[in-house]
This record gives sequence, structure tokens and C-alpha cells, in this order.
Amino acid sequence: MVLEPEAVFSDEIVNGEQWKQMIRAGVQALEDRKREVDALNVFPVPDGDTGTNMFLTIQSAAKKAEEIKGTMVSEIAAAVSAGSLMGARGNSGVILSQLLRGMAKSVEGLYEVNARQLAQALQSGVDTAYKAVMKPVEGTILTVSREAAKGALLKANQGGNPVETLCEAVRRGQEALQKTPDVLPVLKQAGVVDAGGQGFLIILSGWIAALEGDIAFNIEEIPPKPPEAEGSAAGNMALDSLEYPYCTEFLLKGRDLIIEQIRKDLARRGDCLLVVGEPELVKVHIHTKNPGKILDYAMQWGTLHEIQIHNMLAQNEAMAHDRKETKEAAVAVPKEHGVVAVTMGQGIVEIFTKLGVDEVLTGGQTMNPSTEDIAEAVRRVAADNIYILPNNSNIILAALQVQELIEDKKIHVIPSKSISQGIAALLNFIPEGTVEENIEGMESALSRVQSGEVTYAVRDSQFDSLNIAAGDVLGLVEGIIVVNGRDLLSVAQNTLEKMNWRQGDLVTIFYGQDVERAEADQLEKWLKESQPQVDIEIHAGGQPIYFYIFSVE
Amino acid sequence: MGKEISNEYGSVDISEGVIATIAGAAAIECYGLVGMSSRKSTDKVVELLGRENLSRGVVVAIQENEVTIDLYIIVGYGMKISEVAMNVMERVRYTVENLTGFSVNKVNINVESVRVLE
Repeated sequence: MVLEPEAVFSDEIVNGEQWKQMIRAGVQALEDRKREVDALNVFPVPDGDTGTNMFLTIQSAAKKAEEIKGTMVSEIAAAVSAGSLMGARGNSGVILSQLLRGMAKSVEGLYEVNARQLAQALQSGVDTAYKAVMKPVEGTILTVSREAAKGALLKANQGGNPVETLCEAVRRGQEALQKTPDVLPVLKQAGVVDAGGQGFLIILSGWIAALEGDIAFNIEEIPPKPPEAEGSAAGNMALDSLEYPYCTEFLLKGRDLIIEQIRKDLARRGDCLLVVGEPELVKVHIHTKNPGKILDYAMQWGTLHEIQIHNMLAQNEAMAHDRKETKEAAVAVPKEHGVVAVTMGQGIVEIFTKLGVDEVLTGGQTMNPSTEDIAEAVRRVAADNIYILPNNSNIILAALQVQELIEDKKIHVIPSKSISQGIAALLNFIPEGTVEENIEGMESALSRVQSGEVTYAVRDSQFDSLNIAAGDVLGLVEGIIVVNGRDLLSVAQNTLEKMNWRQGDLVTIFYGQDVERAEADQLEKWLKESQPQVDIEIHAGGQPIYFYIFSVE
Repeated sequence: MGKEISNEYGSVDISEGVIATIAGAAAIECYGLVGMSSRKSTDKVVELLGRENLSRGVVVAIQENEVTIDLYIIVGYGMKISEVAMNVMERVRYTVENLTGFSVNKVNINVESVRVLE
């Protein structure tokens, strides 16, 4: 192994005896909390034994380690690997055995390890574990251990000591664990996080407790209860770290400072505790609920210097926010087909979005979006082929010109003249189909629907044989005025009659923002009563100007 | 052939091929299983055609309404084979039963080889 200049990295080491303690503490931590892990178990088979299986696996590993008389880390790690292999139980037990096997490979020949070697061992465990599966399922212990190893490497390379390195591993693993329900739907349905991942983090927390040095127990005589508050507080660290949101750090100067005593007193007040130094100068690091109490306590010993208090809750949120942004950027991997549609009315926008439109522009009769507006929306969609649904005859032309503004994407305008046509086209959109299939499917859908609209006249006019007065309710079929009148319901009914709705299979109605639900219900009732075999769908479209938009198929 | 569920509204037929694909897809997500071992000549034809063959190494038999699944698997070296096999068995049974609604009579695991992963 190539050693980098020592000064940059922490020179604290973990020796073989400590490694053994780590394994023991991991067993202890899991023993205490295995039921909690069992309760989470829904994947891959909901049999509620993940915690128990992992516990039996790591216990077998620890027993093997106890038989080793040597003090080399590599000897102990090899025994742990062999023990976990033989004792592997269940899916997560097998994965755990592979993680430990990879770690053993990584520390081969080493008497003791520093923080970087520890982090590398974790990474090697993850590499080994990933090799033994054809199709790794993300959102499991694999994901959690991978993120934990990443955190460890990061911290170790920043000069973190072994405890800090493991703390960071747990913190990062914890974040990944919280996200497992987003990756694996079965977890979300059950409202749990991944059991194996949780078990792994509990083991790591045990390791931290062991390295903090206050735990010593024999694997054969595990006490029924956690030995004392300090160990389990540290063991719970990070898993519940938001319980202690303030990261508090300071230097304490005094005379005859008793490090052991300070550590013991502070242990009850938080987690991730670190008390190091000499009788004249001590550095304290703790995550706590109340930094004031920590400082008050320390004042009894001497003077405080370089006090730093951070609210980790706020830090976490900021980081979560950053990650969300990167995630959103990451999502923008170009897909094959994308859809941009122009429409109006909250309800209709929602329907289009639900049907898979990537970008919905609002616009329509009175406010047509420009070619540039549409091109802007097209740019926001990361797809090779973009289908534009203008949904209005006045917008088709603007849409056709978009191609000239866009160089890196193929634009296909589906000349939909109405909302109804747009929806019919969308229903024939196949995200995994070819360009030809989509164009053909969507275009042929246009002719299968009849569109009707009910709106009002803004001024007196004459159209064909109709005398129209300002304020009249107008019925349009395929954009042509066919009826007028003063009563909304009767105009709506007449418009539908002109659309030959009685011969259709399905009538869809979007009522606009100026129509009361009760009025729409009245229309629906009439449709159902006069022709019960026709299916009626009614949606709150929320569109302006048009009282009703109808489509008949 | 396949298996049928019927009620007063009609019937649902699920072929052996469908069950084999579900079983194969569930199996390859199992930890420790690093490959499937081809058993049928049709597997090779499908692979020659360059298609992803999820039912490779899966043989489904339906007799007198009982589903039996035989899996021919390759396990990674350094893993407890019995545990991996148990996991595959459990997972395949659970997934097939869950998705098809049939009860699976037997899942037989044949470990055809062990592969050393560098």
C-alpha cells in the first residue's frame, strides 16, 4: 500500500484488540436492537427475521474472532470473515458475510489500521458484496453500505480519525437508509426503511462505541441489558442523531483536568463524544441537545477557548436541499420521447400532467403562447423526440416553427385543435414506442374524437343563419358555431346533440371556472338519463372562457 | 397449457412461460446467485437472437394444477451455498405466488456450478 504523507491524515490507529472489541460491540448493538430490525423486514420476503439472521451471522463471526490469540488486525478480520461465512443466515446475513470478507481482503497483512485503511476496508467490502449478485437491488443493505463506505472514505481523506470516519459512515448510511423507501416501492407501501440496511448501521454504531473505548465485555457472557448508558448512547449515535442537533466543540484549559471524568460526565448529555488531550488542555466534541449545559459544566474545570456550536439540523437540511437539486439534475437523463402541450385551466393542466406530458404551457384562445415560449418549454424537456400538442388551431403554426429554434431535438407537431383531441392523442402516446408508432398513433387518434365547446359571444354578430347577441351562450363543434341561446344548459345540450353524442361510446366533459358543479351535475344527469348506455366522464377543467369542453368518442 | 383461474366472469390463463419469466426475474435479484445455467435448447435459440432471456435456467411444470419450478443456478464462490439456495427458494416462491395468485408446490434448486469472482 502506498502511504501518503502522514501529516495530512489522522495518525490514530485501530489495533487488533480494538478490532475484536468492535466486532463484539457490533454483536451487542444488534442483540439489543434485532427486534426493531425484524419488525422492518418486508424485503425480499416478509418473514420478519432479518435482524435475527444478521445477529446470528455476526455472532458467529465474533466467536471465531475470540479464538484468535494473535493481535494482528488481518488475522482477526480473516477469522471474522470465516466465521460470518459459516454462520451466514438469510439474505442479509449472506450479504453481511461478503462485506466482512471484502474488509478482510483489504486489511490483509496489516498489524493495525489507520482511518484511511479502515475506510478502504469498508469500500473493499462493498466492492466484494456487489460482485456476488447478477442484478443488485438498490434500496437495500447494498445501497446503504455503499453510501456508508463513501462517507468513510471522504472523512478519512479529510484527516478524520477512525471514530470520526465511522461516524461519517453511519451518518451517510443513515441518509441512504431514509431514502430506501423511495427506491423500493415495497418499503414505501409498508412504511418502513430497509431492514438489512438498518441492521448494518447498528453494527457500525457498535464499532464506534467500541472505539470510543468504554466498552469491554465478553461475547460469551452478554449481559441481558446494555452495560451502561454511555455505550448505548454512543451506539445509538447518528441513528438518532437529530435528537442531538447541536455539534459543540471547544478547547478546555485548566490544571489537572481528568479526561476520564469529563468523558464520563458528558457521555450522558449527548453522543459522538470525543474528549482528548492532556491534563492542561482538553479538546471536547459532542453532539447535544443543549450546548449551554455542556459549556456550564466545562466552566467548572477551567477556561473555554475556540468555542464552536453548529446546528446540524440546519446543515442537514441544506445538504438535503443540495442533493435534491443534484438529483433533479440527474433525473434529466435524456429519454427517447417527451411531450409538450399547450392548454389552460388548472384541472386540465393536471390531467395532461397525469397523462405524462413533460411540460404544460398555459394558453389558448385569447393568449396564445409564442414560438419562443414553446421552444423554451421544449428546451426544458430532456428527450430526443419532442411531440408538441398545440390543442388549438391558432397555435399549430407557432408550434410548427419551433423546430427552427431547436437544434438538438427532433420536433413533431401533432396538430391537435382542441383539448379533447390533445387528450385523445396523449392516450395513444407510447413512451417506449418508436417515433413512427407515436406519430401515427397520435395523429389517427385526432380524427376519432369530436370536439365541442360552449362559450359566450362578446359582441353582436351574424354567423350563417344565426343571429348572435352579445352575451349569448354559443355552442361550437370542431370550432364552428352551431347553436346559440340564452340558457347555458340548453345550449350545452344542443351542442352535444349536434355532435351526435348518442351514437358515441364515451362523452367527456370539462366544466370551466365559471360553471358551478351543480350545473355540470345537471347536465350529466340529463345525459345519463336520456342515453344510459353512453359512458359519461366529468372533470373540473377550471378553464377560463369556455363553460364546457366536450369530447365524444 | 399453463394454469387457469376462473370465476363467474371468465377465466385467466397463465402459461408456464410467464411463470418461468417471473421466477427467473426474481431469482437473478437474489444475492449470491451470479448466473443461471441454461437447460433447454430453446434458451440457446433465444440467446442467439440476442434477447434478454429471463427464463434461462428455469423449468416450470404444471401437473394436475400443481406448480413446480426447477432452477439451475450458479453461485458465487465464498458464499454459504445452502443459504443462497434457501433465499432463492423463498424469494421465487414468494414472488410467483404474489404475482400470479397460484400456490407453488415446489421450488427445486440445482446448483450447477460455483463461479470464482476475481
